[in-house]
Parts: sequence; C-alpha cells; structure tokens
Amino acid sequence: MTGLPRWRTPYDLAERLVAPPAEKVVRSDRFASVAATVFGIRRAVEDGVTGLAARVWHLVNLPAGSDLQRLHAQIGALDREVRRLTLHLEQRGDHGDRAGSEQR
Amino acid sequence: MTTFLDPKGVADRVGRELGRTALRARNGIRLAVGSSRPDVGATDKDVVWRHGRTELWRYRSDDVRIGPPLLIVFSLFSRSYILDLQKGNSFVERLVDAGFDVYLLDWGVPDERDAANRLEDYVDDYIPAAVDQVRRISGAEQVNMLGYCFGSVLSLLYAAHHRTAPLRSLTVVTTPVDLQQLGPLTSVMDAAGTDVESLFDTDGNVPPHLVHKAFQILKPTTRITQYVDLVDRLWDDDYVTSYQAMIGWATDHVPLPGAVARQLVDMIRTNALVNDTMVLAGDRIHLSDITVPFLTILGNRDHIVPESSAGPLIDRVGSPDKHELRLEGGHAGVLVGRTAAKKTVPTIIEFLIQRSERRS
Repeated sequence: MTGLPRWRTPYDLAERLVAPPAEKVVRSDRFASVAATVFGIRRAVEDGVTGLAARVWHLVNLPAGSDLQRLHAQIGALDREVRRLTLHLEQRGDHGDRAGSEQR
Repeated sequence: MTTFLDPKGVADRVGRELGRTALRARNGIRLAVGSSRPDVGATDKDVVWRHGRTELWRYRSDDVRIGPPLLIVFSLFSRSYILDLQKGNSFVERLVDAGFDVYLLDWGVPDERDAANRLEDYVDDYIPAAVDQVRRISGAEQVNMLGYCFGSVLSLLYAAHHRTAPLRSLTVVTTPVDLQQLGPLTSVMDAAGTDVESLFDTDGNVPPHLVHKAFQILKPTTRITQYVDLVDRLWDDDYVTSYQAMIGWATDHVPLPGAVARQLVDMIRTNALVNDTMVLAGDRIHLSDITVPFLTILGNRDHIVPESSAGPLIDRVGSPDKHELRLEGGHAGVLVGRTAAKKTVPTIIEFLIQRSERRS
C-alpha cells in the first residue's frame, strides 16, 4: 500500500501535464514584457489620479499625498546619509582604537 | 495481504481512517483560525549591534570550540528565520552545536528610510561594520563568512571589493550569478528598464507582495499542489507544523530597497557578475579577486536560483582553494530538511573546521 489516496493519481497526472507549459509561459520574454507593460499602465493611471488629487488639494493650499511621499523620500535619503556617516565615524573610531592599542 | 473479506483488516482500516479524519478536522480548524503557529527562529540569541533596521545577532553558546567566528550574511529579499526554522531543523542550531560562534546579519524590514539604500551601503558600510563588531566581540582577527541567496552576492561583492578583508573563508549558498537565468522577477525588471519605478510602492521600495508573486509564479501549479499535499496529510501533526513553518517563510518577503532594484536592473542588463562588468562606488569588481578558501553550494531542484544561474560562479572566483557542492534540493531545501541535515550542513561544517582552529 502506497498510502496515497485514489484521487491523488489523477491530480498528479494533470499537474505533470499542466506544469511544464505553464512554467515555460511565465519564463518567456513575452510574459515579462506584458507584465512590465501592465505595471507601467497601472503606474501611469496612479500617477494621473495622484496628480489630479494633488491639484485639488493645492487649490485650497493644502499638501497632497504626493507631497508627503516626496517629503518621506527626502527624509529617507537624509536618514541614509546620517546612517552612513555614523557608520564611517564608528569605524574610524574603532580603527583608531585598534591602531592605538597596537602601538602601545 | 489484507483483503476486504478480512474483518480485522477492515476494522483496522476503518479505525485508522476515523482517527485520521478526527485529526484532519482538528488540524484544519487550527489552521483556519491560526491558533497553532510554529515557533520559528527560536535558537537563543542576543542583538549585539544595531544600525537602522539592520541587526547583528549572536547565537548563545557555552561551548564555542572552533574559531574564528562565523558571520552569516542574509538575503535582502526574505526573512532570515529560514536558517533557524524549528528546533531540530535549524541550520544555525547545527552550527552552534558543532562548536561555532555564530553571528547573523539580518537586514530587518526596509521602509521609506531605506528606499535610497544602494548595494554600496550593504557591501561597503554594513558588512565591514558587522565584521568589525564580530572581531571586537569575539577577539578574533578573522571571520568565516557565509552568504545565503542574495546575501551570497553581497558577501561576494564584499570579498571582491575589500581584498584585504579579514576573511578566513567564504561559503556561499544558492548564489544568483547569471542574473538573466532567474525568471520573472529579473526579466520583468529588465523589461521595465528605465521605468523600474512602476514596480515600486509608495515608500519607494519593491513591495513584498510583488517579490512573493514573482517567486510564486516561477512554479505556477505549486501552490495548488501544496494545498493538495496538505489536505492529504492534514492528519499528520509534524507535517502540518513543517508546512506552516515553510509556507509561512515562503510567503513572508520583505520590501526590496528601490535604489538596489535600480542597480539590479543594470546588473541584469549587462549580466554584470558573469561578464565581469560589475561596478561599485566607481570601482570595477572582479570575482577573480576573491582568493580566500571558497565553497559554493547549489541545489539542482532550486527553481528560484537554478543551477544555470549559480553554476558559473566557481569558474569566476580566483581562490586556489575552491570547491563546489551540487545537491539534490530546492532553494531552501539545501539548508533545511533531510538533504540539508545529511549532506549540506555536514559539508559546510567540515569545510569550515578544516580552515579553522579548535579551541581548548
């Protein structure tokens, strides 16, 4: 007795038939370009809606979501610079300590 | 042989099926309400260094017998608990039990503050800082380094860009080198080209659900087959626990920093690691500059980083002491599960022990 239920054999058979062509499709260049186009269209629609909403908010002199996103991105970039500088300073300190202890 | 006319055999089968049906019902309810989550990443550890979202963990051990320490560099795409999945099925636990002082560099969950992070941040800033921390804490002059998946790429770039790095050895597992062989994630990025931002979320990163879909779609029927397997073996508590842990990890991705995604597009376009055209911080990076003892491990059933992507690595590394291990296994299967326990982990441990010292 294999321990497999009877319904499993037809499923495995069907899976073996369907899987290879499906994998071939998703690994094709055509699939990649269609997916990229879909993402591009989605992005364009989102940008259009966001731009329209931003104009409405700006009419009443209020910041829009896109302004906040930009601000987030700027803070993120600043945060990254601070993190990098801190790391460089820490490493310089560590190496200075090592050199000092070696000289001693 | 049991026949239908054997009353005892029939009774046994009916009894067994009734028992399994009851267990299926119990486990099905537990799964549906989410009341039994497996305990993942449970090996005792301490956070010994933290910077931004990045943490350096040191696994506790009273029995460190081998030096120098081992620093594991994890991927930017997924969560590191796959290396410490469950008690008794944990790569990290095996290394600790073997006597290593094990550290893991975990990148955390990137948010909008990480959207501008470039590969240089990881390769030239975080990894060197983590190596320094490991040396400071352990008092060792060198470290053994091990990279997993994209963490392997980061480790390779670190070793190649920092030729005097204090590395005793470098081990890389399931390393994407030929990036044009990776399937939908990279091919969609490549096709998106200059419009790669169309893949980004509002935080400026590639969202985790997109990373998940890109990996899931590589095997379009696998998700259904996994459900079928689960229904079939829902009565088996061990199987259900392993299923939850593995499926939980496989669907648990983290955002990919947008700036890294932009660099990846360039790397894919030029197939930079294969064609030796990789540039970091203005410097050309040559994998042939890696000269430390080197081990690369790949799985022949890995659909995320197929053999055709990881295979070219061994010929490009310059180490005189270099080895390749090709295993029967998938992407996680080379470090988790039976193949890992029997083959990968002992091979890695042996490779490291031969290039390390035993402490008294």
